[in-house]
Amino acid sequence: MNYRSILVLILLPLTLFSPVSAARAEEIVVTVEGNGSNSSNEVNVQSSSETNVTQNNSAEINNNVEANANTGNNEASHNSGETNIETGDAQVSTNIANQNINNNSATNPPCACDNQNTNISVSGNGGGSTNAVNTNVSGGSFTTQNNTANINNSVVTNANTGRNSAQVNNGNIKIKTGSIYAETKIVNEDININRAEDKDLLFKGLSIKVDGNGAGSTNIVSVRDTREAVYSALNTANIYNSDVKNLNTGENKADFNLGEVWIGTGDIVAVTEIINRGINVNDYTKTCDCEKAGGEVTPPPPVTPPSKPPHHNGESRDNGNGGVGGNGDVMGAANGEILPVTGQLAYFFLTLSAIILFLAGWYLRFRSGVAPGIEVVV
Amino acid sequence: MKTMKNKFNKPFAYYLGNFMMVAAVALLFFIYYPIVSIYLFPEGVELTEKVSDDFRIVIPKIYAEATVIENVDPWNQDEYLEALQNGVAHASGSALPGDAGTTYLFAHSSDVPWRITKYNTAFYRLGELDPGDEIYVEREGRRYRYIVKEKLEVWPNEVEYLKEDQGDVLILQTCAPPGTALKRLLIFASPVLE
Repeated sequence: MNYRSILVLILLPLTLFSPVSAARAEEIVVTVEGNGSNSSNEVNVQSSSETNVTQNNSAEINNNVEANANTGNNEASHNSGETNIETGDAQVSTNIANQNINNNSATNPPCACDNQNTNISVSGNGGGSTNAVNTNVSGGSFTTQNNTANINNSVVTNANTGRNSAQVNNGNIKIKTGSIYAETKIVNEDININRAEDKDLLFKGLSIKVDGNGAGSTNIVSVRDTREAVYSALNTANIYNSDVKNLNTGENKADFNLGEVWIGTGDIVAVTEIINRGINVNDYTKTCDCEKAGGEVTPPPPVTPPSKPPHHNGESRDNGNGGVGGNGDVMGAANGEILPVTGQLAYFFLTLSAIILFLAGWYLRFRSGVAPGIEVVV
Repeated sequence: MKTMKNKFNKPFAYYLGNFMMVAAVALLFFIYYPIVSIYLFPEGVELTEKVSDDFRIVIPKIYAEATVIENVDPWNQDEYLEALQNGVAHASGSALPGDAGTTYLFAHSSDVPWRITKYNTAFYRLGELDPGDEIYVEREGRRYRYIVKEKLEVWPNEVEYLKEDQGDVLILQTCAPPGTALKRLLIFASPVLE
């Protein structure tokens, strides 16, 4: 009887879906037992695990702000009449916020299904056996996230209601200017945000056993799993914000006039708001998917919410409204639920009953006439 | 002089009418005396130097002092109505005092007159709280001080205040106006680090 068994098992298609976890527990056991006469036994096992995470960030942020306000430099001279120069307010406000620029996070946690047991046993063997076991599990999971942010915020605001001039006039001069309110708000938020998460997909509990063998057997078992999961993101954000305001209700002149002069200007209100939010946001995720790779799958234990929030004895409590706590944030409720009923309508109905009772008594009392035995003398 | 003697032929109605009017006044007194007494004879609240191990709330301004029943399901009416007979309810799933997150307490603003006590209608005068007023919550030998920052009347179906975390804040809820279940009065108070 020829017991030649050739088993070649190549698992190449897994390569695209098999990131490697650095923390994965690997166990490969190869046993070629017995052997026999004329045997030629060869066992080659290669296993490598590699996880490279590279996160490079570069941010250059320049804020250039120039804000001027002026209601002065008013001149009144050589006037024979009454001169009145009244200027309004000049108020400028600049607010620049650069928040959450270049934010990376990468996790490659092992899956719950990440108990790799590869047991290969070519037992028995026999006379003219040639036994070869080749196992090649290579590594992967390379995550690279590069960000570059060049942000240039430039604000120039010049406000002026002054520099009014009234000179060499014979009549009455009145110059009244309005007010200036100039506000600039620039917000650069959530620029170059990366997230990456790799989880394993691998053959769990693979066990190959070529049993018995026999004379003239040639047994070859080859398992290959070339793992590779490559994620790369390169983000570049060049943001240039510029806001230029030159505001002027002043620089009014009344010079060399014989009669009466009245100059009035209105208000200026200028508000600029530039918001750059959510630029270059990457999110890379691979889920744990042991089922596709075959084998028995042990699902992760269900997440049981704590029966009550952890208690910190108050030492680490934040004041005010800052932050969102890790507890109390989710409370189940079905649609149509309402906030707890903490009022009673008993008061309403009891009061209504008392009023009805009183009115009914009133009706009976006065409808029945005067009190019995009372004489009415007319 | 003409004398006319009234022929009274409805004595029963007469006396019944009088009785009903007197009974109505007595009923009104019975209904509203517990509430009036809250204002006329308020029982003082006490903040002892030794902090209680029990879970309780004290609001000095409105003379409110009540035991807090911990982990009461706010979506189970039978459960929380039973708890509210004995004090203020702490919504299960919300944070406990001292923890990060939203602490949600709710209590009756009114109950039937024969069941009104100092403890089960602790929040009757909750609407009198203003920003800046103090609230104290004691639990496991620690006292937590809160300052009222906002009060809000919402409709009963605005459950997001209960379902979603509102940050580190204490929320007190009762019904408004008192004696009805029409709307919900919410008091938001921020914890004060001592």
